Amino acid sequence: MPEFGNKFEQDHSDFAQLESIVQAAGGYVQPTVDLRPKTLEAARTACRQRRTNIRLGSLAVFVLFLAATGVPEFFFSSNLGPAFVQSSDLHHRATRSAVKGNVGTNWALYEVFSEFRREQAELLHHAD
Amino acid sequence: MHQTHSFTEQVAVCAERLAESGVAALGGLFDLTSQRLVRYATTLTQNQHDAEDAVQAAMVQVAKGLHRFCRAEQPWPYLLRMVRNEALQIARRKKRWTLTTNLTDLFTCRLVDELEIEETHRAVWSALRSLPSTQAEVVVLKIWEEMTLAQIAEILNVSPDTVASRYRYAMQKLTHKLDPVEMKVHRA
Repeated sequence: MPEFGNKFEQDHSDFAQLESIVQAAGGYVQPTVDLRPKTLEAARTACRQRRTNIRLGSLAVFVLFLAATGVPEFFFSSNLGPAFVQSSDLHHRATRSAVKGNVGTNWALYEVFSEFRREQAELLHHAD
Repeated sequence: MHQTHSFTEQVAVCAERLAESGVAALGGLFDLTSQRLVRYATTLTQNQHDAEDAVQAAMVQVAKGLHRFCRAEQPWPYLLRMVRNEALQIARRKKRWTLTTNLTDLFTCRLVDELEIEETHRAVWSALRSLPSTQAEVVVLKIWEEMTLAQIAEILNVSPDTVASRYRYAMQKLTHKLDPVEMKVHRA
């Protein structure tokens, strides 16, 4: 706004004397002596508080992340893991049981399945 | 104008130091700006204690948002705006407008050889307090901070025309309250 500013300065040149009087009073008021230490201490405290809040926030996010990812993983791996047994494993166990106990393959498979269902029932019982 | 420019540059240097050293460099910014900020805030709050609270709150905001302050294109007007916002909030809360001409709250600097002109200074401050704060702050920014109308308009978020009219009204009122000729004779 240079044109506007120049016009303003011209229009108000009659205030020059008054402006100089007001200008001279600019240094009359000073900040009180205790304002500096009070302000700097308040600023330091605010910064410390902010850092603490940021750390607590990060910790909370980390804990939430662990809770969101780690806990289901723990349950799936420990409690429900045995429920997902491969059928080939069961057949393998049945074969070993048949050889060891000198029984038929069908009977051995029946025993292995019975044992597997009992294990599952126990796990579910513990989970409750 | 040169003085204002160099002061603005000094504040910019302080902002750079703050960016480098963090809150440890806040003392430098305080030393450089506190007197100007307090006298500006005093015209808004009409009370120096409230003005100092506003300055303190603004400095704490600077410390908490160092990056925002340091990234500001013009740190000095930015700081003035922060102090203005804090001062207006305090003024709205406390509503001390009834004490407009009372100067007992002011903490003043008086040199021995300036005793004679103290009355003039007190008259100026008293006259400023009798103005509406919207006019008084324009006078402060124009005369004490040596800002242009455009710069003041940017800080106050109003048009330069509004700033000009506020300044004109304020100066007319001050002319009635402070007789320049008499003051000049008194000062001489």
